[in-house]
Amino acid sequence: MNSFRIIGNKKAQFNIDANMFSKSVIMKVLYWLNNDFVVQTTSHESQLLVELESNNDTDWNIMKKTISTMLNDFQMREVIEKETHDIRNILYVKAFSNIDNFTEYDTEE
Amino acid sequence: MIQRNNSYRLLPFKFTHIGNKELIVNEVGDYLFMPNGTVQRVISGSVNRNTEEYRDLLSKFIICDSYNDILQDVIATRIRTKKSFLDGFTSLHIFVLTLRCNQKCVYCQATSQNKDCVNKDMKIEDLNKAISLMLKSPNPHITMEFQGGESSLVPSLVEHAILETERQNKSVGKEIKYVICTNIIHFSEELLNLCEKYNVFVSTSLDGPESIHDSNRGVSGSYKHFVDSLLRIRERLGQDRISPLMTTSVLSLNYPIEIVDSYRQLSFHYIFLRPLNPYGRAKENEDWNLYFDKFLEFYKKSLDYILLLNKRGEFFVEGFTAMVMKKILTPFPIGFVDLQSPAGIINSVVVYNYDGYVYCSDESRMMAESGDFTFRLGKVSDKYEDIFYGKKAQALSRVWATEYIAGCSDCAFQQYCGADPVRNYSTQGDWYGHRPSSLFCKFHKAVFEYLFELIDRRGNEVLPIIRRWIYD
Repeated sequence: MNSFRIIGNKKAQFNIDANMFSKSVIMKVLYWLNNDFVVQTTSHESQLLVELESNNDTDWNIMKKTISTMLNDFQMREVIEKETHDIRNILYVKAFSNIDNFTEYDTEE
Repeated sequence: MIQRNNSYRLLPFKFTHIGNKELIVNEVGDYLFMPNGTVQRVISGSVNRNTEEYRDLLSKFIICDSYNDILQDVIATRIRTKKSFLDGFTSLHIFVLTLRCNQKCVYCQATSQNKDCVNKDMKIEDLNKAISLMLKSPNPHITMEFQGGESSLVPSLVEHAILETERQNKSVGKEIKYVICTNIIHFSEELLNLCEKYNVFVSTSLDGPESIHDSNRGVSGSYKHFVDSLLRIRERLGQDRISPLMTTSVLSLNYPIEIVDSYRQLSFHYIFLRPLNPYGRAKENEDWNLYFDKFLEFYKKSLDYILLLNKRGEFFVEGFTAMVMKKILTPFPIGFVDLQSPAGIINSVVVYNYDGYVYCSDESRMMAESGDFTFRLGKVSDKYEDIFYGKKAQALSRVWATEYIAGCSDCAFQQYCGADPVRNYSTQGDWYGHRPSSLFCKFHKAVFEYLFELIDRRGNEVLPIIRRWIYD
């Protein structure tokens, strides 16, 4: 996240480099912001311009830190999910398979 | 995949920040408090072998040396244990025998009607068909719960329901536990005899001291009738055959200590601090955000007081905390339908309403009283398969697990929380729900954070107490 600009009490803009954060990570962060803010995004090449507007007064310095933490956290969650996606599926398949009920078919016939 | 020098591998886990620490939770709910920055170091491969940190992460299934079969089987067994509430399918079968009631509770979620109202009792033929449906459940252990309205207003229906169930069950052989939910204001000898003969458990309501209880009931003298009946029921059925639930009205919020003490004065050793739910008359509450903020403070004050009582040597349990802590501290699931994933609706609970229709939860039939039949699964005369595995049940299954809905799928508290499409629909207008604006999400996250703070800051003091609650 860079170029964080505060516009009055109720509006702020910042850029996110789409080369650094995946679309999924960015969308998850914006998802959690859209209860408190009207969120608008504009894309310029690899930069995503995000504009947040609130009806309430906002401490934008705290917000800036929060958004930065959320971006890093969701990026880490994405790494964990990608690396563990297959093993998680295996674990759930094993957990819910009814081994006793399986019918063994003779595939030689 | 990141290539790590020391070649450990990641297992699925979630994390969040609590205070200045990271809370890391694995796929089966085991947790670790670690210094901030730990997750970054774990995923970048910077955790050194032969350190306590490495062993902690390994023993909590956050990382592993390899995805070998033994490890997979251990974790898969743990997952299956956590989800074992699904094994038998629907266990709690609620029968709304009447919508009539003799009280006027300020928070009534069931939209109960005047006790003299007509056409609000279940018809015998519908009751018989509902019992047949209940006994088709694959679950060998069934809880049959009589609700209202006020179920004690229809003792003959309660009696018929039990006798008919006993008759039909002769050829089925399920273990049936009967529960009657009643305000016990007028609990007749006839009902007492029935409860004694068939081991019926009495679930009642006590909202606190006389002034709060009567104010919440909307009828003066309720508390005195309650105490009279309580003594009679205890004398005949035994001390442990009756248990009350507490509902926290707006008035109650100001009296956490007094409410806990009112339970102690009546020799109860258990209280369940339950917030209002946005259904029926309670939905008219003006500011739910404010209510839940205040309820959280009420909950913390009450719990703190209860923990103090326990420290002084008195065994007294807060039920909601005990259930959440059981999820956090043990490998086992709990029987609380609000915090289940897949959701409690249909999987654990179903409601046969007085009008002959089947609903997927108590809240669903409460919405029906307001004219919204969204969660009506069918009629008691329909086939079991069409009700329990029908199109509506299938549609609900697409939105009923925290493991795959937006906002929950990444949440560190996923293993402790639950999905609730009915609540989503009632408060947000759609089954899927929007977590950032969900009060259910906000409230439960706040409770989980508070309990984990307790574990982290006062673990030595509170965990022995809470373990007694869970295991005793």
